[in-house]
Amino acid sequence: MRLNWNDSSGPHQSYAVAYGPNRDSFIYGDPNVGNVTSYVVSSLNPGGNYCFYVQAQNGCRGGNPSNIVCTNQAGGVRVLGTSDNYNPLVDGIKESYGGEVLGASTELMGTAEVTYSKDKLPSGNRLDLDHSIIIPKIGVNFPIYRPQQIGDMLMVGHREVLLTTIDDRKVYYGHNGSDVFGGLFQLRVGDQIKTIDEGIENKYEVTETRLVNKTEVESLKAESDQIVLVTCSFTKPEFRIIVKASIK
Amino acid sequence: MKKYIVIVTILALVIGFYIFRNKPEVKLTDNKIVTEETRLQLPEGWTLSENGMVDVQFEKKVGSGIVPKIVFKKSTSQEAQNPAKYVDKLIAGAKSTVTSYKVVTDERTTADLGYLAIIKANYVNNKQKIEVSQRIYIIGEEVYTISGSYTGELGNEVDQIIEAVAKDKVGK
Repeated sequence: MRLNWNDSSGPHQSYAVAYGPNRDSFIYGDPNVGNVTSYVVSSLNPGGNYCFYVQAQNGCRGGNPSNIVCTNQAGGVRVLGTSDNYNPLVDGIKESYGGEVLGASTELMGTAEVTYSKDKLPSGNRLDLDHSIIIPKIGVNFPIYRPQQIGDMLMVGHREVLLTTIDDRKVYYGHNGSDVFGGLFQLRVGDQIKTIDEGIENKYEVTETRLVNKTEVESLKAESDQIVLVTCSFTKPEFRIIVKASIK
Repeated sequence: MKKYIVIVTILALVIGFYIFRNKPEVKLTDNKIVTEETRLQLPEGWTLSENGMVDVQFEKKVGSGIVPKIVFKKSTSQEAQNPAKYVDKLIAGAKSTVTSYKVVTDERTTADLGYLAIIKANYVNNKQKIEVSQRIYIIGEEVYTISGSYTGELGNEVDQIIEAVAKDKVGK
């Protein structure tokens, strides 16, 4: 942690730096950091709370302490979580995106699986253990992930079925890998889908299946009792498979 | 008698000096942003936009379109103890998550202090091609990531800031 201050106008030979875990406890410090206006305090715990002040020293006589500044409440480096699904690369792409956020993407979710891996690859999306989707016909029984966004673009995720809300309708989407939504093309009108939302079971019946261009974002519009499922076409990368199901 | 008056006067002056001399005053600099910009020698137009809960973030003022941004973050992972495998996994995860993400260069070096991956890539967002320059420094389980996103020909400026942030925050 680097501290910067203005040079004292009064007579002084050096500065002292004091710090501690809060505004009432300055248990650490250096009584003489030299006659400088900047000092790096090292050996701090990343993410920890610290408060600092600086005091000019004139011989054995100390001046009035400076104003107190604290980390974390107002600054400092935060250490991010250690979740297995955290991906610093994806997080960096997301956080450094400086495009305008319009509130809606101009394209449907891009879900084509590009990497094969036996292990789950980290995406940074949040696992929602209170929510799952079950489609008996194609062997789907997954917990749900909540997607992050880069601007208006929803992120996908390896071996993840994601849930978002568009125009108050629930939209589930995932890669077209055989272990995610790859079997969606097999669904027909009348097939059964079940969701569990915070312990409440909801049963749906497929009412519509469509193959649409990825630019047809209006195809996600649904009736108030419907959910929408989306994945990519295997054979036509520019197209998406849309399945709509109504509550029974 | 005159001798005593001189001694008393000198004593009074000495005591008065110690009583009434100015206390040294000091105030911590409020304007940290200017200090950081100057200290890091940011190229023209770049500012430190965040220095807090979202860690450290720089951006360049532009008239319209995508705002070039650079973000520094620190995280931890036990998997980072095998850094080459860990970075491979992160790249594969990024490709799976941002489906148009394409890696252009992927350079790895191992130094005494840790492992460094320099990754340049691009992806498409809202029909715009976004360039991404990223560095991952791994020291034990600590992972320092510096990411810059931009459009057009700002690659040199972005890399210059990433280099300065790396020296300042990671000590490289």
